[in-house]
Amino acid sequence: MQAIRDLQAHYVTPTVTVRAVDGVSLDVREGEILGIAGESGCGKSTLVKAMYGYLPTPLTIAGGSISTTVRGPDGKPVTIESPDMRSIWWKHISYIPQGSMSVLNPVVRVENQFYDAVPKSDPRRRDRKALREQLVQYLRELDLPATVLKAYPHQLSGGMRQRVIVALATFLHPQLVLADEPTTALDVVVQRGILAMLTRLQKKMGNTLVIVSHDMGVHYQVTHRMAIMYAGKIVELGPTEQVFTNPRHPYTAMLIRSLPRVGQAGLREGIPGSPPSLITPPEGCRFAERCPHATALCRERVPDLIDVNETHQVACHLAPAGIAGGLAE
Amino acid sequence: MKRKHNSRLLAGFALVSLFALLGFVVPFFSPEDPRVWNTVPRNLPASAAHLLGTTSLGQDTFWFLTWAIRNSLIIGLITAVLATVIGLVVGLTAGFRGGTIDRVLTLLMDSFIVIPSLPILILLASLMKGRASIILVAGVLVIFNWPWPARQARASALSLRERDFVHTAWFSGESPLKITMRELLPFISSWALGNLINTVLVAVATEGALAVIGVSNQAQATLGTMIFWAMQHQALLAERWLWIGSPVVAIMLLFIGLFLTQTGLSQYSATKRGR
Repeated sequence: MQAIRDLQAHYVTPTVTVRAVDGVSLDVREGEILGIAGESGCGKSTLVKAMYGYLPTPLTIAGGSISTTVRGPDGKPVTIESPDMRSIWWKHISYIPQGSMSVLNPVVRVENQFYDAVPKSDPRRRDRKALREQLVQYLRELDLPATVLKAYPHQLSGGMRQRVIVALATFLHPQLVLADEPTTALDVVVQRGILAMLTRLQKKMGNTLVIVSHDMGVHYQVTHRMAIMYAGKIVELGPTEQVFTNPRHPYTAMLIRSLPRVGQAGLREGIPGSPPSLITPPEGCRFAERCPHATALCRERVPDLIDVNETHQVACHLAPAGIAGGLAE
Repeated sequence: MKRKHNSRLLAGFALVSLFALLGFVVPFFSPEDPRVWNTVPRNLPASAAHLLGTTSLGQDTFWFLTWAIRNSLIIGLITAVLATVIGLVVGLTAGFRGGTIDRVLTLLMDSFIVIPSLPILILLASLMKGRASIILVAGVLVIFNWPWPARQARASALSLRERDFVHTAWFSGESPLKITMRELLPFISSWALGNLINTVLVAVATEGALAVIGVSNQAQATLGTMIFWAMQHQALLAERWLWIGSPVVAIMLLFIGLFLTQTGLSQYSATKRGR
């Protein structure tokens, strides 16, 4: 579906360069739900923006490549190199942006925003009545009442609005959907609804879904495979189940340990410190500063992503030595 | 507090409608072409046959006034529509696209704004003295009236382009033109309507001013040229108040009507928002 090779996505300003994504290689496989996790400022959103080919200044791709393969109109696969992706936007690859509050035009009715999203080349545009029927049908599948079509965005609740955005992003049946923090700033009940809606859609349409979230719980519930990012790099990548039961990177292990669990009272353990500056990243492993197991080697050499097994990779000097055995609870 | 009627909008709309009726419907019922001299006896006082009397040129003042209103309104409307449309397109494009396009267009707008328009208009009018058609006069007025709406539309576009929904529109694959028309325009459409009305007013007034000092096309009947001819024939000294007074009162009433409509509309949209 999408092959990312040694991607460098930087925010370039005249005075500083922020290396938000610094050498990421990742394959998005067809039909999977891939999660990208990590704390604020680790480059998750930047990575997804680059994957979508949406590069608002000063974001630039400074190195590496992203090749996206989609099925063309004749069913044959077509490969497109980032950032020339505008031609497939929304039709083949769509993006659910962060922050549902302001992504809809406040002075345009929801219905018209749906029509605007249907490209001119789409034959459905010619028959507005049929398109409207399709729209109502589609919304019903997503448990949205047809009345939202006549509403202005501010008349909808936060959860409703987020559902409308998800519906808007998936109405053209894109093969790849990138969701950037789709449930952030929503309460847990609504969050659950949105996640259920996303997974149901994914199952029904058989498309590929990439979910970015800092919430490890979301990943555990929804994703098939997950990538953990830290300071612009992927530190661990593997099937979600494996990552949760047998984390090989100390950062992953600490993230999981900080999650509350049923039946466990008491204070959860946090990770002391904060991520390093992405303007002048430290030498060696970027997590070394905060890692309880860090050695001299960690501070000198950057660890490569190595195989734990065929499906599971980790970037840690200590992983082969087996300190990871002590990481899982 | 809920108001049943927006009396201001109602009054303004009634006045403007009256003028539209006088200008665009009534002239067709004129018994003779009121622009031709000496079709009726000269200098008659008001009577049933001649509602506003007749002029020193042998024209029926009332029927001549309707022609004048018609032409003034045509000039005003053409100018306002063209100036507003050009202004919106140029302004929104400049603001939304930014960069070199913005700089060039802004330079153009600013140049037209700083050039004092009346001297230029007098110069232009005297160059084509006597031959300028109504359409041409309107065209010249457009040149000096589009930069204002353009400047304001640009300011709105500059702010709007940074909003999230514009980004959403962009990455959902909408073209810049479509974003300008479908996402940005709804924001300033009510403002544009106000500007349109205001420009009608400005255009009628500017043409009037040009005509009164005698640099417009005097063969055309407009409210301005009507005043010009009345002045030429000493209507003030001869105390022919109906001749000189009717276009002045007409212009004033038209202004009041347009003003009431404009402020009434903004009042209307304000109460609509409040509910």
